[in-house]
Amino acid sequence: MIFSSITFLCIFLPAFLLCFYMSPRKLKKWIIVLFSILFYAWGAPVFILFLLLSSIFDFLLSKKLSGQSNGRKNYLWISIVLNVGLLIYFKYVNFFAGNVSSIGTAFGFDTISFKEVLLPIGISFFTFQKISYAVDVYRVENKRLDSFIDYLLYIIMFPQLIAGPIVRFKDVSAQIVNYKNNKLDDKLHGLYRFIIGLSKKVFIANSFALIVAKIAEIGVGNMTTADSWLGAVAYTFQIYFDFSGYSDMAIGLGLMIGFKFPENFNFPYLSKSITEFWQRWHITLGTWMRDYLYIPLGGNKVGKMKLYFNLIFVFFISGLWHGANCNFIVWGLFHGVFLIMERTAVGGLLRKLPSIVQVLYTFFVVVISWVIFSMDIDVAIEYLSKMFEFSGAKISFDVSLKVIVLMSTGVVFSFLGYSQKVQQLLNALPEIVTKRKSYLAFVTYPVALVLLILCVIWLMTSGFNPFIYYRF
Amino acid sequence: MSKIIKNIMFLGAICVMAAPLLLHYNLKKEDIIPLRGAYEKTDTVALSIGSFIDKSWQSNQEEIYKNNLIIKPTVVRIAHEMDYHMFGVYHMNDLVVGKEDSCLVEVGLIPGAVKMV
Repeated sequence: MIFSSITFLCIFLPAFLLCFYMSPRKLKKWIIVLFSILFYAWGAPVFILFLLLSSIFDFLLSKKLSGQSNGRKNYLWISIVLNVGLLIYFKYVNFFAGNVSSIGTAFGFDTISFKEVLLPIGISFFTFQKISYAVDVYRVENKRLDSFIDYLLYIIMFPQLIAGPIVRFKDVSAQIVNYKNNKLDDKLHGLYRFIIGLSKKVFIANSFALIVAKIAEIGVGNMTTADSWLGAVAYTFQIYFDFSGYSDMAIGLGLMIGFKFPENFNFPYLSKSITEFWQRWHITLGTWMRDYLYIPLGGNKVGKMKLYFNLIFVFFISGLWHGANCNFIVWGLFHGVFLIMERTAVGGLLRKLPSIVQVLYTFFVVVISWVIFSMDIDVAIEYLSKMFEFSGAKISFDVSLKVIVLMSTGVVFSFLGYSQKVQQLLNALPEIVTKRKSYLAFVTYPVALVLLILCVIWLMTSGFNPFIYYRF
Repeated sequence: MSKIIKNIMFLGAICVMAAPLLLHYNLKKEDIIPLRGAYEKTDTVALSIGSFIDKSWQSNQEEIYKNNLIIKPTVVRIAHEMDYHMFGVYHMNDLVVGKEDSCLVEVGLIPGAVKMV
């Protein structure tokens, strides 16, 4: 079940919110956990038991991690190896087996037959949260949770279960332990945030997705250079609005039930370097990688060569985290190389350029990287060569006015934060509307309701509603 | 703004979300003019452990909620009207577009209208 589906929007969410608000405070955590189990079981009934049993095991193991107990480090390693092992098994075993089989066939051996392993939805996200819990408890940064329901709440809370944001334990531990009824202003703020996210996904991401699908239909061999650029740029905006829209919905849902999740995006296409891009794109993944991989490897406090190795290694893992395919690994390494380059003299030169040129450079590199991300590596190479062969400036199909209007809105919103003042105003807007100048709510609220109604209409009438990050 | 108004606003939004389902169980089928064969009724899959595990029941439910809600024809008509008035797009080939009185008329409905006159 994804947030932008009729089943979620018209049945699951209203039913959940009614049960949640009508239940006494003591039961609220239970309601969230029960609905989260239902939410996960709806899409992955086979794996709900796996998720629950592995959570029980992790919870029991975590009791050995806190305090002064002997062998804490060993238990931490058991927890990490177990979770990473399960992730590798479910996510990468098909990839490895397939490659081994191909290599074997190339050397004249028989094809190895293996039963394809199914991927539990959201395993990349909840595995990282389980590791975050174990490490934070081990480091004594946070007290471990005494109640299993609290632990389950942290791992399987449905707003962030299948596509993030990846919430570090230290970000929510206090909120879980000292759970309070949320303020009415936060509920409304969460509602607005949810509707904004839904609109980003339904109107803008889906419009860009239409263009991407049309370009894919043409095929790399038949497309013009203009087609290839349009496809690449459309995908660049599609993935941004798709994922940031989903994150907005998750953050909004969290606020509605009393949790403040960390932000996941901050106008990434305004970045002036790839280094800055990773401070604005999928922020929670970047933060997780920094805290649990980059810093333990030595971080910045190492020699130059070790630092470069650390950067490449972290981005190799980031790429691999996205999926078991060569293109994700190359995509991660591609970003890693640019990050290293920006730490050399090239970075110094880049910083001397006008800021608009820096933004354009970053946007260009990111567009190229999304081509690598979105298709198999051999097709990506063919696609990239098409982009630079300048074989035709005509787009092969007509784009409707509706799609043009919605795409333009998307482009404007992506770059709206170019001015610092506008960015600050946009970030402060929810607080201004719900707290400081409440009369504004009389304007904001009807607009939000109209957007919500339009989203429902669109979802009921359109059969086209892809979601890219669902498969991670 | 008072707490009561804020609570009403929040509850109102939940009602809007649940509206398609509430209308589904409170409207009579006869009140809605069906679409002309564009959507077929989805057969219902019975809920059982097997159908839940293999997700056929969930897929069936999602199909029903997406395509077979009673208000679906009305929603489709609203969407088409909006597309026409805002972007000049019309979705049916057998459509008579009347911009004078701002309405879309399906060819199939014209003989009926002529008879009534």
